[in-house]
Amino acid sequence: MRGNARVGSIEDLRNDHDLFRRAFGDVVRLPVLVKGALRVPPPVDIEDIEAAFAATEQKGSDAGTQTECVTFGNAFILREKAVSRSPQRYTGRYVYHVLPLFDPDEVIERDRDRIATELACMPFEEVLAYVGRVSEALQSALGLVGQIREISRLTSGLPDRFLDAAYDDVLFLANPDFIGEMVDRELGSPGVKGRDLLDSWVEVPTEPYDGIVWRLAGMTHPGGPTPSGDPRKVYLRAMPTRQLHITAGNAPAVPLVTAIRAIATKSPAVIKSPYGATLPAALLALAAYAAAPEHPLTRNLSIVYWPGGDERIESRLFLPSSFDRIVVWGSAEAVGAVRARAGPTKVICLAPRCGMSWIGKEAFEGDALKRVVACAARDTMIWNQKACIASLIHYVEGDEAKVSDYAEALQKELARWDRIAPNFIPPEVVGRIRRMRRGKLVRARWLFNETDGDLSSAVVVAPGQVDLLDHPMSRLVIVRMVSRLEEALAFLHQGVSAVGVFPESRRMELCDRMVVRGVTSVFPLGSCERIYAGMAHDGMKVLAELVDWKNR
Amino acid sequence: MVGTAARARIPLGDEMDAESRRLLEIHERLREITRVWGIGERWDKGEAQRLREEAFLLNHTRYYEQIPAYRALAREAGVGARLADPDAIKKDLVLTDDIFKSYDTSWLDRSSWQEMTAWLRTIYHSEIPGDFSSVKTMEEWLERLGAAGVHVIYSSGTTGRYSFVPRDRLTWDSLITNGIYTVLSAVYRRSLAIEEYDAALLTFKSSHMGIQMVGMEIAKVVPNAYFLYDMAMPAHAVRIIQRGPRNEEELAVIGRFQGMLTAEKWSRYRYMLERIEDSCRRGRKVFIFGAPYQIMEMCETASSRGGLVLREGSLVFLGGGWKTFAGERLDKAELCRRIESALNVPAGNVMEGYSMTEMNALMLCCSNERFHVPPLLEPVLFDEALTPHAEADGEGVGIFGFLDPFAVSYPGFLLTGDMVRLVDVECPCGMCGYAIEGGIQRAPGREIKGCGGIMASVQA
Repeated sequence: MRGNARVGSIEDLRNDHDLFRRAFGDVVRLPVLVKGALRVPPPVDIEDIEAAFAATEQKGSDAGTQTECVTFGNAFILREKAVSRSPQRYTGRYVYHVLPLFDPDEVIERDRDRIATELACMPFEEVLAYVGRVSEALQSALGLVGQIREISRLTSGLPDRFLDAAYDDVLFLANPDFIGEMVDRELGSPGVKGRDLLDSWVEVPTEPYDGIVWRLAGMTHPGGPTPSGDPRKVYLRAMPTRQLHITAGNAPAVPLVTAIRAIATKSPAVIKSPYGATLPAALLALAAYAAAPEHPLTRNLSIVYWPGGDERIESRLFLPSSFDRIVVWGSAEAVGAVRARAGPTKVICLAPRCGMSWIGKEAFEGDALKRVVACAARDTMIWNQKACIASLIHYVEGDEAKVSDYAEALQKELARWDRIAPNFIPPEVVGRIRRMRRGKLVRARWLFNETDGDLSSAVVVAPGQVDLLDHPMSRLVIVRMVSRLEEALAFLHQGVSAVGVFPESRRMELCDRMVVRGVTSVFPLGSCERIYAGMAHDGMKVLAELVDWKNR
Repeated sequence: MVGTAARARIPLGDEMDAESRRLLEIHERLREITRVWGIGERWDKGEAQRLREEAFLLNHTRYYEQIPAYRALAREAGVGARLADPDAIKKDLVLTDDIFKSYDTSWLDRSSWQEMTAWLRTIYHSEIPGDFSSVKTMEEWLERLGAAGVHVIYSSGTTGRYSFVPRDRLTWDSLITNGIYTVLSAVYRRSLAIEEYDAALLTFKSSHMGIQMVGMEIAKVVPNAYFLYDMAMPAHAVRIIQRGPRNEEELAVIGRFQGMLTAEKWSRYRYMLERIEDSCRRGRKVFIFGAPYQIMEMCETASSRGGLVLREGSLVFLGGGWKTFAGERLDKAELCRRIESALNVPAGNVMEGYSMTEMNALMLCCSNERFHVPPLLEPVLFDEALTPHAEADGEGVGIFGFLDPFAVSYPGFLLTGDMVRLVDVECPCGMCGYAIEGGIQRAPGREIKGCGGIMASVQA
């Protein structure tokens, strides 16, 4: 395998460069990767950091604006609100992440031949070996991973159990077998493995149609001329592209998921580390560098941070010639802003979406309700309701009394979750819920759960249609009564990622009618978090969108 | 009749009870204080505060007894019909401006006007007489409500979901009187007289929409007025645009409406400019009212014709948001430069108002870029958890709420979606008291930092 030079273990590098440590109590230095080169931030004093934020806030006179990032010297400094754990509350303090600056031109690949000679021709098995080495590097530094997880805990709004699971997932996702299967399924077709299409020109067993001119040319030159090569053979190939990935910070695994997609397609890539998940992104940068610093995949990988909207950087990155693909995860604003500026570059939008639960009248037969409610709560709790597949709204087939029973049972079920994974609802979300309660949903029936006197989860039975834009995605379920499940078809659209349905017979009956309305996944109630290699994501096979398909 | 038979608590005339009489006295006194405030003379802040608080407590009792949605909130907070401490209102009894959107949008789309009327009753202080089941369109519903004495103003808001604010005669009169008072005060402060003006109004001639109604009311106080759209605004066309057409007939409706707003727009601006020229020829000053983007477009039209020279003292009044249809934010200084260049109206004669459909007052922006809050209103700031700010002076940055003593027919203790900086100043412009400075932002809470969430306003 190429790139076997060693620069030391992850922990050596951490110690050498004084990374991932809490200096001055609340300042953490993080590395970035710039085309395979590890870059570390300059030392910065806490006094300078606080002065830089104070100066920025003094300049901004707009009411309600809050500074999340400042540039100081050669570093970006991010500020996140510290959260105490028991009970989870904002402490009034901040944790600062210091990351080095970079020049956008440093990360843009302009040498196309390098892509052909270093990446396209690399056997896919070498990609898997590379992932295996990065995974090993992470496995050998579990102590450090644990310490990074504890730094995440200082600011994370996720419940502890979710945060712990998130870091466990980082190790699970960097799995060569899973990635191999993903490539084979997303890029391949029956009889052809995706990895073969990435590695070489694969003959397509077909009789090509040569076109009108070819037929007419036979009239002008009967019997000739004959093109060189075999005109009857055609080949297909998936080629790497230059990729810019703008990620979201709602789950720590997102930077890793998106980086794996870039690596799996053998593509030079720039990953924008998201506010809220800079730690796992920085860990990945360090792991790639420690595992294989000279490997072409490392040398074509950049994991960097810049504040979204930074004109100095984005004006270069969004030029039409800079990338072949832009993948954008995140808010409607982020997606819209990228779309508007991307020009002719193909943009793959992983836009905000949400999940739903559909509960058929069969839930009220026998003793099914308890089990159904437990399953519906499970779909609700995916990433603590922050994920695009988490259920925000439950449509329940029944009359008022039944829907009321369901809501009360769900309230109890959420209270169980509150006990095993205490929920942090920050003040701004409390405000959003109050706004709903004292505004559009004033006529609704509200069922609140509290833990230690603080709101921890809620169920609201809405008497009519609701605007999902108001949903705070913080362990709050909107329950809507429908006389027939089919009524809920009217509320499906491209913004619905997953629906969990009970019972199975209704899922089978309604599935096709649901998916044609835009839903990507229709799963049994309680199993909406399931993933498998090659699964559709937002109506796409994302890897197939990331590569450039070529004919020969 | 929707609901059980009952009467409003403030009948106009001899039947008025002592509390209602006292409320009206307070209203009159607050208006007098506001008149003094408006012309920059000294006024008694303490008295205004005491009067407002007395009105809030009277209104609390009225709301509790007569408005179902408010009563439910009060009961949940453990508050009864009588209240002694106005601070309890700020803490527990402030509703959000979304209360006026708390209906089921499917009723609008199904033309279920009887259900809409029943909903309206939950936020209104008296029964609403009449059978609305045969009503066909939103315009007809609003007209029928008006005939029943319920004057409903609507606005579309940023998400396109209508707010419907129901006013009885008394509250309606307060809205008109208080708004006109503020505008006239500003005119008089410039040593001008409204009688000398013709009004060029970039609005529809009639409508129940808040911003359009400002134009209608200005038209009533000047001798001569002309409208950009000399017709009634088709409310149902706006609704069809918001939710998308469902049949050929609706497609035709929005085709005609959009044609009027786009293809015909420039010819309408030219027509307005001809009318303005005519006013100038007759020696009249002109009072122009419109949204910033409309004024910008009219200036472009005027400039392409070589510009106009309006008589000295002419005024431009800006109302509505600062974004264009394309979503770009206009720059106020640039707009003022264009106005001066195209119409000969200096920046000092460009006025900007801040209000909302739910408020019975108007705030004007002064030359120091402060929106001055008239003594008619009590501003209240809230933090992100919607808890009222504890500072005694009321100053600071927060989500803007207000207590409106003139809201008799609906709950007037309201929280908006705007984030503001509130100051208590003696402004160099001559006004004193509360003012909003430094711009008005949407309150945070919409930002989604991950892939989970909602791309746009969507009903579910």
